[in-house]
Amino acid sequence: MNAEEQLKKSMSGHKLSDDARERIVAGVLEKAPIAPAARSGRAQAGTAWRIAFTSVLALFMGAVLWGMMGMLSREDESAEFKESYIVTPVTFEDTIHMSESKVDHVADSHKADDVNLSAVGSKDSDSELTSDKPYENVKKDPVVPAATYAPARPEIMEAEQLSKAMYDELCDVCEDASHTYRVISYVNDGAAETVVMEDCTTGDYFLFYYASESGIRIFEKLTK
Amino acid sequence: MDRNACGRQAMEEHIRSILSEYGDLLYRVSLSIVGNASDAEDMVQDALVAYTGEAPYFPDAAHEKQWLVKVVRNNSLMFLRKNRNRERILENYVYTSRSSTADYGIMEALKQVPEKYRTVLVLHYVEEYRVEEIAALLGKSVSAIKMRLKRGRSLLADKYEEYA
Repeated sequence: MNAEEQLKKSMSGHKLSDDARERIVAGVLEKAPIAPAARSGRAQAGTAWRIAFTSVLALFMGAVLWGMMGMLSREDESAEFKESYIVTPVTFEDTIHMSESKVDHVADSHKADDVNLSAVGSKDSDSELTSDKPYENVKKDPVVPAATYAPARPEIMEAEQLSKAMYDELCDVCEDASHTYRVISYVNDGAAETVVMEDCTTGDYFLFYYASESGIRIFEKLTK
Repeated sequence: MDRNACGRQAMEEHIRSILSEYGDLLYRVSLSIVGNASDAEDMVQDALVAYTGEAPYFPDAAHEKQWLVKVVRNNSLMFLRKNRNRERILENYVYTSRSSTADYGIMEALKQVPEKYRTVLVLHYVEEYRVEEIAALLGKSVSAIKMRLKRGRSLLADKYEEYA
């Protein structure tokens, strides 16, 4: 008998005995956690609970997410509202010599006024511009407009040589406040004042003659 | 009868039917690997516990048998790896207990053959499975099984001559 035949003969004799089968059945029943039918029912119940829990969790997370989105949306709306309806604070020029609190105070006082303010008061005075009496301590300089709380005016360079009356007249005739004008020459013979100015933006020259007593005003554009 | 008891009885009947159908096959496959009757019984039991616990679906009996053979073989190999140093496994090799000289010789020879050849030899020569069936059972190609069968047969013959 060759090896294969002997193997078949010998191994075929090895079978599970009845006792072994009973032990195996008992062991399987003992180790198996629950019976199939019961397991099936419990598994179904467990699955149902898992589905319910997952659904509730998903709903909760969705609600939280929705709430967060709503808050963000409201914040956006609030920002838009501020941008749309809050009056832009007034521009306050030459504030470098003013205390920060004073600048804020004056700006708040005039925030609804669509104007520019120029600081012309004393640098160190505690009684700087206030909302109640904005011009009380304005330093009276004849060549600088005292009325700082006024519509924007054209910038006239080297205007310190002009009288205040002449300066005001020039501001009136130079209506374009976005331009800067430079005084080329200025003559005051006592009866009248004559100014030649250059429009720094366009390069044009202008002559302005003003006689305060007679009220004569001549404003001409000069040909180069 | 409550649902648990009903399910338990149904499971017991199912286990008995599985044992009746595949018990000896599973036992011998495991025995050829672990070499010990009680351990082989444990491997069969563990396979059935896995079977009842996982409750896999099989389209037909062939798939069911294939699954059981794989599980019992894997369990047996894992058992051997875990108990590599347990000398009693080889000392108590079941074949020696109630065998004739020829039985002893072939079992000792089989013990010396590497496992991958041993299982194929048992399935082919003892369980009388065809090469294609063994390939399906073990998840190997037909050519690989043929090669294992050829080498296993040669190794078994050599070892058998030594012990016979």
